[in-house]
Amino acid sequence: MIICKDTPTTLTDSSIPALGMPTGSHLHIVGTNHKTGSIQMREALAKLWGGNIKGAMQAMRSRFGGRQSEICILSTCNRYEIYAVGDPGLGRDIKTALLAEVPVVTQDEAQALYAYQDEDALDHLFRVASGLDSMVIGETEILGQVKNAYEVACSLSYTKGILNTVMQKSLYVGKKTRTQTELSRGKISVASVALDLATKIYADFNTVTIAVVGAGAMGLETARNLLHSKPKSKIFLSRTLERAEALATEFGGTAKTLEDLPEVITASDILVTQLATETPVITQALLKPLLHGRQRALFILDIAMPRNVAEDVATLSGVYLYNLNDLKDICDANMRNRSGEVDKAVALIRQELSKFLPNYFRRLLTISR
Amino acid sequence: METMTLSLSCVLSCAAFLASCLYLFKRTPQAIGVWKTLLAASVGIHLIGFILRTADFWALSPVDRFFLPVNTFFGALSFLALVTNLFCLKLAHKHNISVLGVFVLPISLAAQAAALAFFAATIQPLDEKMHSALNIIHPLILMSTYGTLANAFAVAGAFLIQDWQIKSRRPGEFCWQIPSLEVLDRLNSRLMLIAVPLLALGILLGSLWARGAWGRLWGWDAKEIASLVTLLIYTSNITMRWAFGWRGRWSALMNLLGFASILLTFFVADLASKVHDYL
Repeated sequence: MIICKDTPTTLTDSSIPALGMPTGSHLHIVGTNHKTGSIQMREALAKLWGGNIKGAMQAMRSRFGGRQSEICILSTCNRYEIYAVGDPGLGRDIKTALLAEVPVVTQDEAQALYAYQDEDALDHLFRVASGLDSMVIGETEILGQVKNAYEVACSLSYTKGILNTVMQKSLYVGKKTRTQTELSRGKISVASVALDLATKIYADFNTVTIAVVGAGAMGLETARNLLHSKPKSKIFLSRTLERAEALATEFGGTAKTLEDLPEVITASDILVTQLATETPVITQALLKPLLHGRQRALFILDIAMPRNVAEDVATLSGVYLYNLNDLKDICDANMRNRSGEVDKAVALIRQELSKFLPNYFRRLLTISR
Repeated sequence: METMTLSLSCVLSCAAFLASCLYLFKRTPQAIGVWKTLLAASVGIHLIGFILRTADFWALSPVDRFFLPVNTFFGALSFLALVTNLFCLKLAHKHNISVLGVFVLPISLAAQAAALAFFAATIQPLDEKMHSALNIIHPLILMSTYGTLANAFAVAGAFLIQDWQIKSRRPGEFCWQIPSLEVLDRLNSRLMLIAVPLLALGILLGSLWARGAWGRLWGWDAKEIASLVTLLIYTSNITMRWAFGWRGRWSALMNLLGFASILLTFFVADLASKVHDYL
């Protein structure tokens, strides 16, 4: 839990005050994301004021002075959002200021910036924290990024009563949607699925030997999580020893050439293959004698196209063969499951929003007095 | 009285099974604690019932006061279910296998239900020939062994499902809930290593008792043959693992065969046996 100065007290009165809204305490969100803005625009926004979030927040403070009482900026590769508290026209003015700073050419680009206020802003923030607004639905990284943005703003004392309440609530909602729905369940990258499958075959990952056959980028990308999961040893095979040695130096392991393939198969538990060959390199004829007396399972990830491993190898006992399509199919199935959870997550956010709004408006009034 | 406690225990085991299924199918984490608690309650009530039955058994025939009431199908099945559930609780806790209940509890439930449905709970005094020091532990060792091997059978079943899931390249939701193949295979091996020497000891004690009671060590009776086949299956499994590095699917399949042989020994051979007209 992030603890900031002026952490709000919980208000129990759930009735929305009938009084008018205070004039200087509205929550505004102005920004763009992967759905509305181009990558060039997001880049341009991220580079504003020296590309530094602290600098950007200071610049916004000096620009809007007393009109803006609190500020926080969330900048990720897929979004750039400014959370500010101030008078009702502040959101519009921030939007104008941003458009003046970035090179906007077309009308579409000008439309890329959105501005939300109060209830709409809260709804948007809760969706962002829950991963519903992310490129990959339910991804968990965004929650850490929201938390980080809030911590930075907190450390500069740029957040007070409203943003402290709102940001902490968004972190709570972000966690709740993930635990009470299956929005973040199931891996959706081939590297993560490969690691998950390996953990369902082997008991202790630090007793496993991984061999990467071929030096292609896709093979290394697929094996990325496996290689970073502290296996017992890593072996890199390539057509040339120089290339294998380069990988062995980069990831820490031993280098071999293709002539050593049978010996490497015997020594390894997980085999990631990505060789550019017309015909399969690993066949039943090669594998059968090597499996004789073998005590551990052999998990083969064939990332190559055309495939390096003959299809009938999958029928051998103790051999688990997956190709890139299989891994992608699992990712797609997980993605479909996540999409199926969106409605549940949205309902949960609405429920949280309806509970939170009375407190929010009450808080605005408390501050304005 | 034991019918009532066994029925209650059976209901609790059934609820524990449903809760464990809830964890497997719906991935409800709270269900783990629920099924373990329900099973612990089931074991507790079952144990109380068994102690009361033992007290009645001893009261009925004071000469039987060193023996347990496992001389009828009802008593034997009840004891078998008790041991199986106890092992299940221990394994689920020690090895943190939250899905174990889904695989083990149907076996103990079947034993409890069969005892209640098909056999009378009446207490019978021991046959005259059974009054031997060897016979005090012979049935207890064998029943405990069967309970352990019932758990091994369930673990082997879980292994085969997991193996099939990963082999299929389309692993379903089960795959992510069931432990890794290596964990299941090792547990299977460990359970066999505990149970098989005890199985051999149990058969040996029975054989020594038979020499005193019937005047011969081994008579190739249906039950004796079936128990020897069971021992051979499990011993072969361990030997193949140790000597030839057998792992995984074949070992698990052989385990299933071994448990089928236990059932044959327990039920069919008993009916076919000419001399084992009591358990």
